[in-house]
Amino acid sequence: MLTVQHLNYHYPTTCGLNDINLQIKAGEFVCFMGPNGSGKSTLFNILSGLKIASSGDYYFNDALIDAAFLKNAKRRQTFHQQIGFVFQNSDVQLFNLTVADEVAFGPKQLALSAAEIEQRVTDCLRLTGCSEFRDRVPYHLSGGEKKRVALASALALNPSVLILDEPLNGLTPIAQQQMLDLLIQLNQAGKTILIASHDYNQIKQCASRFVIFNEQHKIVHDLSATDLTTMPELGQKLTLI
Amino acid sequence: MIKTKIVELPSWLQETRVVAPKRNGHSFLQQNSQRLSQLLQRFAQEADIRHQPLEEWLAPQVKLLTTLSTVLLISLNQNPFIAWLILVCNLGLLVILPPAYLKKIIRQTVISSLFAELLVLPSILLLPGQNSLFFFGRTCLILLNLSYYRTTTTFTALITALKQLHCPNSLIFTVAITITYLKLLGEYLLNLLEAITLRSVGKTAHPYQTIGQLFGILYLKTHDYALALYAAMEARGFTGDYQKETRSIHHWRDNLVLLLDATLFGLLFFLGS
Repeated sequence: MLTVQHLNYHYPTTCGLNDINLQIKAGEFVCFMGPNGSGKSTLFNILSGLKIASSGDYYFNDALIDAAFLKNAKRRQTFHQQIGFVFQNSDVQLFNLTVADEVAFGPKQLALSAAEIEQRVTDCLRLTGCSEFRDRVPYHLSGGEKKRVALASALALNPSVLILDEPLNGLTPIAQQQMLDLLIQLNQAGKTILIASHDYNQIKQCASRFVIFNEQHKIVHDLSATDLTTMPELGQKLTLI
Repeated sequence: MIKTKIVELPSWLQETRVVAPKRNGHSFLQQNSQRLSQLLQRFAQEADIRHQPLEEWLAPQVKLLTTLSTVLLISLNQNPFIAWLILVCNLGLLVILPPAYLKKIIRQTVISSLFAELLVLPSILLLPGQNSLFFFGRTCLILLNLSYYRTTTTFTALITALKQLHCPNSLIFTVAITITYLKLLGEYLLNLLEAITLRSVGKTAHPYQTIGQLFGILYLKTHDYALALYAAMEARGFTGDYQKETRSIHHWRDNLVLLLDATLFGLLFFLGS
């Protein structure tokens, strides 16, 4: 579904990604781990089409995602509909006057009836536990609530891939577990989930694959969850990342 | 592991089909967001700190004074000889720059000069002659000086220059906050635009409403940032006073540049504008 070949990304003064090769099949639940600044967020930005790689190729459903692809409005819109992205800092992701408007922003651009849009909004708010504050201003919500609203907004477009950049940060333990349970359900329903997290103990209950970055912005391990259970030293190390 | 209530997924969330976008509506925001993003990226981008060879070359206050006085001199001057002298001095400063800086200054000057030329083009076409050309030449010289200052001066150097020139603390504070926020707010707006791009999957019924909301959020953020920054500065002992740095004009280069400025002004006075 997603293929990345010899991907490099350079910021003006630093390296962001260093020769990344990756193949993700539909329905996988992949967890990206690594130290701060190792390139996880940069890779997510490229996978969601927000950044273009300095070199290397990125294919989504066999289509090469490059500047030319993203320039075409129709193709770009279809691509964005299939990829939902929750930013590390959800504060910058919410811009509407109410939570309900925020969730409805995407569906309102699709050929859906008013009833269907309302259904999507109600369902997404219920799934993410945001129903009680549907009429509040997103700007004034707490960090954890904003994260849940951002997830609801991404879900409302029914994407086939969900990219979540450290979604558990700022959530209470119960809210973290609720989010993980929801992600497991979405994964079982066929969604591909890519998640960045520093909490190995939390994430090991749901991820089927672990991709580990090092400080040189390279992938050093790409293991299935089963393989990882046979490497207790690495598992121990991951709890410290 | 904490046990939570499992919620049931709605049927539409389990479908795999891609819904077609709405036919009617505006794509104004989507069409312009990319261009705006590119512009904001330039604001939000960290300054290139690989080369800063001129930071110590001149005292910051001398550099600021020289730039301002040169701009004033060019504006007042009507004498081609003095204009040529200023150009020679400017070229002398340019040749000692590293190639990366030189390229950037030339590019900026050429682009802004062409834009200025476009603005005065009707006047040049309607009243052709020496005056129009001289006016254009002087505009290019001013733009060259401003571009030189902008490219070779760091934000810290500007604040130091204002301190050394005994500017009021309130002015320095305003300049410092504005410059700091320009970058932060640029980054914030860029992220908001990226979020919109990600959820722009069709046409919006009310694009201007979204633009209004963006600026509303930006205003709220600016207000919150300003309060938080001032509180953080106060917590670290900031009293509203900027300490003056000890470095003063003592280097022969500072004196040479000031002397050169004074000479040019003297020439303007003796030769007449």
